[in-house]
Amino acid sequence: MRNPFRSEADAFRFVWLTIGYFVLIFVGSLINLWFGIAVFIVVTAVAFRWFFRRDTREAPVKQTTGREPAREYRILVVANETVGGPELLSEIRERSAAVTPACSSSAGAQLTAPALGHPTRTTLVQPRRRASTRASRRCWLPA
Amino acid sequence: MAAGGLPPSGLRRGDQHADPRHVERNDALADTSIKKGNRAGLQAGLVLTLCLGATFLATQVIEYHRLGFNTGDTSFAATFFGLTGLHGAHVFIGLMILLVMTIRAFRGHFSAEHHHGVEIGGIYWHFVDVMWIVVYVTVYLL
Repeated sequence: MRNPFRSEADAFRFVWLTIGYFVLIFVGSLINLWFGIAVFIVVTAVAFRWFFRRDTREAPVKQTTGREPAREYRILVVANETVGGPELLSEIRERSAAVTPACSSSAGAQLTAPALGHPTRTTLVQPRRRASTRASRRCWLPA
Repeated sequence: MAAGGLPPSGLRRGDQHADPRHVERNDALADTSIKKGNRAGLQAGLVLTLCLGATFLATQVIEYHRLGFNTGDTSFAATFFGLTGLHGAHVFIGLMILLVMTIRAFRGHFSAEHHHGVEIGGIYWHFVDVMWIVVYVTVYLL
């Protein structure tokens, strides 16, 4: 069921409906007390009828269409340690045309450069990269 | 507590306050502005809502001071202070939320794509407003 107060605009609309509801009752009661009660019963019944008969179906989720040309290729970057796992590697082999470690060229050189100033990071990254590459080769991926 | 007349002499019909509809219209202005990417409109709407909300609380305090009856006087008085006091507490909480929203708006935290904080704060403020319409009509008009 769709939440009737999902957005600020919904809540704002409800405020105006509430104002209309009470204005009708108040004006009715100014004319005559019993007329005011009758107005209250009628507008309450109308509100209940609307609430229980409204369309509660969820609006369909909007799908966005890709704007890229047909010959454009997509690159998946896996940036964690699980790339060494056989399940993920087999899935990658099934779906992709080529696989390469991201740190193999200039990015890897930057990581090992002394200007980076993080020797601990370098020592952590390099063994992980070597392990991922070895795991890729074991799965016959063109790494 | 004694059962008393409805309402006591201290309270007149239509006595109250800043009209809440003005307050919440400004909040809607803020929300509409940021959806269009208008940050100045968002900031103006939030500041205006904050000021009017604070004015509402101030007039409530003044009204309490001038009423001439207190919570223990009659059953109406107890109900009156219970309803309006609880609403005042909700307004105070709403003002705190608005204050945070306003500070964030001036720091540039919201944009046309990312304004969830404004949306949620606006929904709360409208809830407070709907409750005030119910209280206002019940206590002051009918």
